Amino acid sequence: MSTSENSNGATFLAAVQSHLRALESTEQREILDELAAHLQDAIALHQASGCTAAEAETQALRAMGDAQAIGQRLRDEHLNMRLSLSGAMLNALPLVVIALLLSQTELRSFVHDLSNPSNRFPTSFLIALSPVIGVGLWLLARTRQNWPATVLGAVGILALLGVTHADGMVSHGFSGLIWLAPIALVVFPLTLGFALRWGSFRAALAILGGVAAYGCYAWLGAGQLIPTLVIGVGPLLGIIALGLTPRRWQRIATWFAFGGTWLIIVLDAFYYQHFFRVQYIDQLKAMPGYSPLESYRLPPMHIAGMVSPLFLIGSAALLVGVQAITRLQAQGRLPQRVH
Amino acid sequence: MPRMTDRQRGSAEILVLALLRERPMYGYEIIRELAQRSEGYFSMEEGHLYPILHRLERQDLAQTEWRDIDGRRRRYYALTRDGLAALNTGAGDWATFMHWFSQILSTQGGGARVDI
Repeated sequence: MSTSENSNGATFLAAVQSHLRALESTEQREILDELAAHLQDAIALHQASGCTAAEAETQALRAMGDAQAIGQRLRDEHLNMRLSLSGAMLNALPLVVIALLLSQTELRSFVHDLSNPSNRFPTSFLIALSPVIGVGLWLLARTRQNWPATVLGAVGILALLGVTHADGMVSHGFSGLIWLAPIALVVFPLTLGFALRWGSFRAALAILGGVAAYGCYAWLGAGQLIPTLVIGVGPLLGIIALGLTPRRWQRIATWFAFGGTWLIIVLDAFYYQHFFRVQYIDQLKAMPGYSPLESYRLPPMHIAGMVSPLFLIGSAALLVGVQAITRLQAQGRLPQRVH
Repeated sequence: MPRMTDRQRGSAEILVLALLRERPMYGYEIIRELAQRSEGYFSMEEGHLYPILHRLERQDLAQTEWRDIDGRRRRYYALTRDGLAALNTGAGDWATFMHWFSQILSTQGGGARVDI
């Protein structure tokens, strides 16, 4: 093999790699493996036609052209693709999932507030929408490759999340502040920084911290371990699975998770308003010393609230299955359909 | 051996898709096939081929898999259904372009100055 550590081929590949540092490590590795395989093929062909190993390598490298030019073209191509609409959608996916989960929680508060005479409308409605609006702004700015707008979008998200958490601080008092402040001030900015810098998979990893922190907050607020674990583990598994899913399945998976989650949010809100809340108020009325004001208290976490995270777990299982099939196909252990 | 001009490079994606319609191929094989079938006219540089291949993959026009054959590990590109559709559209556009291009060139007096 002529691409061993001290060969000209290795020098060539190192020169290419020096231009790929902006890409994810897996992308870099794939590109370099492919170029190394290409070099080996070219060298083998030259050797078969009677060249010595050194001559074959020289000719193969000459045909490859300038390492700097190849590295720059590949880097630009990959970065441009990352900034394309579909690429931006995929990069933003973990944020969208988190936004949807936050929205779901707040949307239920909104449904509850609608029937409360001292309701906070439109505060809770704005809070419910704010993460989605923020992610939308960020996505739009990133798609247009406008960095000042991207920064503005990121600041917008932080401000909106700040509003969300400020509301939470009021609701939960100082003990909530202890958990919410690190989320608002450290985890989300870091997450956004990672997302802006590296894109999909690393952003997903960074977001795990945010999910864990949110899980701690939910545990603190609800005081129930199992719902908290479901809320925390559901998106975590979903994000990992989406990050690991082969690219050609990610778009379908994105829309599946996106559409499914929203469907469940709507169904959950409907169920909450028309069934669960009614039952809860009936239970309160049956209790001695019932006061009408108590009916405006938010009911405890219920099974319907766990459907959306469970759906994400299901999505995760599906995606892991798809990935397993793809790997088996790549290994030749399952037949592959080629159009 | 002549290298590809800008005009040829613009059609490179269609040429690559056309080759992949026959069977999955790896990068070096694509370059060799292009050169052989055009008697050396299409001599594509590696620096141009791989960005094209990666773009096709990201656009879901081609899908890839690593295969180990005879101890050699290579990345094969195969045409997808979207890729086939893109090939048909692209080839149709080129046929239309060539038709009218030839038509104008063959028109008497077509040697006059052209401002574009």
